[in-house]
Amino acid sequence: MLGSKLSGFRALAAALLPAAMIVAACGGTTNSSGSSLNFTMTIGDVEPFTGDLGALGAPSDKAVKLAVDQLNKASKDAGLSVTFKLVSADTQTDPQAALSAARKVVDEGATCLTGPATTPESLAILNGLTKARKITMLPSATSAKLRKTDDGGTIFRTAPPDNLQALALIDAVTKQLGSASGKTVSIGYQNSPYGEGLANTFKDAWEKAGGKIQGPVGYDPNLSNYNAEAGKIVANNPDAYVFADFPDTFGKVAAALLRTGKFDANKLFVSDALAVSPIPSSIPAAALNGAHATNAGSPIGTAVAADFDKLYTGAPGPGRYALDDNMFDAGILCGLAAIAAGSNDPAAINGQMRKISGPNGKEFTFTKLADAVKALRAGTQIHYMGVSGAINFDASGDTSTGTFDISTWKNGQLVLDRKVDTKP
Amino acid sequence: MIPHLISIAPFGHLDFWLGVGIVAGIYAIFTLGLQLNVGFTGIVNLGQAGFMAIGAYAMAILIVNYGWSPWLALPVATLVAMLAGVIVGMPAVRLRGDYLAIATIAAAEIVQSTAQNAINLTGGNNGLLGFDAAWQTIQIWALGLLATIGLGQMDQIPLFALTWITFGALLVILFTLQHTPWGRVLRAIRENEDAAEALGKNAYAYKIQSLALAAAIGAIAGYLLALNITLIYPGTYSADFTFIGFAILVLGGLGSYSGVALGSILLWFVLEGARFIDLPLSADKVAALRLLIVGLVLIFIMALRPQGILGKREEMVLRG
Amino acid sequence: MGGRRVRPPFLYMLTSATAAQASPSESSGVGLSTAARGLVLVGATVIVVVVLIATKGYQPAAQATANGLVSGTYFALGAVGLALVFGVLRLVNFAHGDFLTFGAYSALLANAFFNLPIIVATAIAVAATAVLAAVLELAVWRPMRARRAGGLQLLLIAIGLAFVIRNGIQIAAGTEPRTLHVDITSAVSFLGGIRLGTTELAVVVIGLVALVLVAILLSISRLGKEMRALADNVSLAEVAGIDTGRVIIATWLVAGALAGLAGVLVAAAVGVLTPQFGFQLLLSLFAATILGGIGNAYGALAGGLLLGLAQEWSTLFIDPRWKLAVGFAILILTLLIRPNGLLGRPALK
Repeated sequence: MLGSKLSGFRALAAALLPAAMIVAACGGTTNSSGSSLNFTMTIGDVEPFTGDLGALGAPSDKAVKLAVDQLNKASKDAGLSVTFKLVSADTQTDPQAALSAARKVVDEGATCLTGPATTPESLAILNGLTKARKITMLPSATSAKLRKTDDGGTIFRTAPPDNLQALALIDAVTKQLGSASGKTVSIGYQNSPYGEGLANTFKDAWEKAGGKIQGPVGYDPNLSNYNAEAGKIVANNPDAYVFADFPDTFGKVAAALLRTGKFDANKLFVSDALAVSPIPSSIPAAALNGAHATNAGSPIGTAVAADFDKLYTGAPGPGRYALDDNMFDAGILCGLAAIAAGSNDPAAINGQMRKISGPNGKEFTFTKLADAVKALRAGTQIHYMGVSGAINFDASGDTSTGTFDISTWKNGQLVLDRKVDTKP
Repeated sequence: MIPHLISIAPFGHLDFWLGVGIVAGIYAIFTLGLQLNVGFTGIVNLGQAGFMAIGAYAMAILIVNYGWSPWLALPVATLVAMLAGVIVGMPAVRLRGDYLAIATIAAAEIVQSTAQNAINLTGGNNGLLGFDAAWQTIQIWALGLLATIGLGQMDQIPLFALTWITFGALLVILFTLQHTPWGRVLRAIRENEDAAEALGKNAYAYKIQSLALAAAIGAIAGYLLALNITLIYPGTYSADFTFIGFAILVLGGLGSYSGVALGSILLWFVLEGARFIDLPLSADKVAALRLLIVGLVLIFIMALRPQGILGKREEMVLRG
Repeated sequence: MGGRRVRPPFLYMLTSATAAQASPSESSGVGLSTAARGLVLVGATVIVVVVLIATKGYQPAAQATANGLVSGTYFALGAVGLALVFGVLRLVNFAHGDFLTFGAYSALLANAFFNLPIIVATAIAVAATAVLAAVLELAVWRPMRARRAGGLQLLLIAIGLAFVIRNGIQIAAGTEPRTLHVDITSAVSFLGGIRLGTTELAVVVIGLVALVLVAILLSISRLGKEMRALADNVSLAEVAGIDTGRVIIATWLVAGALAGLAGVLVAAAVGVLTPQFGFQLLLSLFAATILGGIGNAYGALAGGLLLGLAQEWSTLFIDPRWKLAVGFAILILTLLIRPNGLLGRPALK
């Protein structure tokens, strides 16, 4: 056992020797040959605190901060002297500002980035900064475009890409309607990169499956009247509605939908950005009770989801919002990768991302984070089971579980119906 | 890879500030157009971001959708932007000051709305990619050159240099134009349009020319911005972009082209520097604080020192 | 600002004329009175509605018209405030949209935080925004006018104030989406298939009542006449003994109150508040004011209603994504074809 531990360390040390030299030059110390690591790791959170997606920034940042707290606790409990720090910056939901925000956190020492929230921002940061420096970025942007982008292996996403989510939505809708062919789905989406991307991906996939599409109807997040849009979505009594939106805008559209008198929540299917439980006060409950949501992995109804919910709602700051579970996982992954790498070096951290996220390895959730850290120091491969899903990064850096939860809101809470496996 | 990482660390925030320098340069170029319009012709062009968008989108569409060479696409796109300036100008410059401002901002909003919604042409909300292959090649060559003097890792230097060299070139052009008969007519129009007309100058035509030239300058700023973020994205070309340009304009001083550089560098130094402020406020509030600062700059400069830093008090005489 | 003809300095002329009535020197031939033009507009609107019903079917056309009335109401309330300020001060208040946001968030504070009933919260919002407007007049605009600040200076100060108010609200309230304690989901059917929310109906009723009250205030009250006098000719008004300072403050109070009310109505009708909504609205308010005739409060009222209707009618023909662009197109067309708007005076250069 000792022998294998040493050879493991030898391999690790050989891979990390250049990195260790660099980190030494940078002023951080590593001590990868003992049981006690000693360095500081900075996670950079770049989120939209202002701009079109401004409502997303504070809840996402809170989630990453909680992750950092958990990492610090686990590090202490496991007897390491690794400290985790969080630095945040505002992307203003704009690619130029996002690039500047990323530079700010990287200059403050960040070696792993969580966020940003949209694909254009992610591309700006990737091409301008992180690709060249091998800094891992974990955006919550879900465009299928990012799969095909040459990112040098630096982008990983805990939120499932649109093409997989579209398949899950199709599965959910088809199950309810019996079949896709000849059935009309009415699409509504927020007129932003996320909404437009997912809406069009779903439209293409549904039409390929033989179905018909009404719309898609896009709407601006800052309109002063959503009645016309709601009217177009519910017109002609479609067989189902699919929405790609965020809670703040959807609250306004949902009220308008209910007012038309023709809206049936049981026919509504929404994507993960709206899969919030309990229903937030900004969305009329009648619009969601009976509706279905797709969400990656196995978060709903599991113990770890409940634990995360308790952690999140018990902490000061904003309430639950879209994708906060994904951002929490992103933060934890950054930290675990650093511990696995035994250093704060970006390239080394990047190299560990796949090794700690499954599918191989001993499974740990965040409640057992200290044990996961100890296992890493002991040379065991771990599989971090996120609150947003089982992770399992594939060759493109996307979650490849392909497993989605289909859930239904009952009395304001999301309840798991079943799981579905999607194959792209 | 290894040498790359070793040299970055001791430079600390230099990388961040180089990025700020690029943005300041882009905004400085953008605001040169505003200075031409507002400071030297007397027309309040609140739609400059729209012209920037037209230039940038035209460039990207020609390269990406139609396979043009960038060396052809850039001048053509600039002409397209100038044409847009003429089209907007023809009805707009007839209007009185405030109306002109509102007309230009409405035109810019239509441009932004089209950019966002005409998905087949403009890529919609996700924008356009892939137009910068030529620049990437140039950049690699430039970084190779820099490597010979040990600066190969400062990957922002090529764009920083391009931006400020472009600014310098435009500055020289505008200075020169100012001292031509054309430039003198513009100033005459700004100071007293009726008198200029009485002397036989067609103020209408000159104002349109001024707007078209500003549109071209805006388009150039748009190209550099696109190279910096490597994509064309509709949300970038917002009214706020123009408003920040005006903050720079008044900070540097009306009637001073070199003031534009000073104003841009100062404003961006403050705006971006504010990212490092450590206040007991949550991050979204600190973010709002940075934008609030832009508003305060506008108010305090206009209230307390309307000529800005390098402007002259006499230049503040504006019609309407 | 071009030369203005001096009109005979008799106060009785002010008491009988409406703001847009052409003076003797201008009424050569073309030029209906405001009232007459208003009737023509109403007639034209009715015709349009009939045509739409014929071409698109009763329910869609009537529903679009009803939707248009809802947004038209708060456009009108906001636009009247803009027009009053422009008329009396020649100032384009770029911060006006954020007055609406301020009003909405004041109501939110009273209603959601202090749990006051929505009516009380609305009254508080109206008062708070009026006070904000008056405070800004005393702290910013009056000193600037005293210093003979030019149009560009004032324009940019207004833009600066917009940034300050909008982001100040965000600092105070955060970006979390908020709702007022109103019922945004109940709806009623009437007139054969038109559906509007009960709150939306309340918004329309309250808004129209407020608009009528303001119109009456402007036309028969002394303050209204003084405002119109100032809008016509400041020096003349002073000569006639009007306390311009007092009237200006009153104008800001009314404009602020209307903006505050409009903000609450938007928040109630739409349901969810975020700090950005005011600026988005501002450009539509400009379009409304210019459509109606800038500087003319009655025009702004008509312009607001018409703009709301036009935007919603456009969704019968084109994708609703383009709704906002329609508003801007209308603004530009108005500036091209009839720069003084539908109810404004013939163009004065």
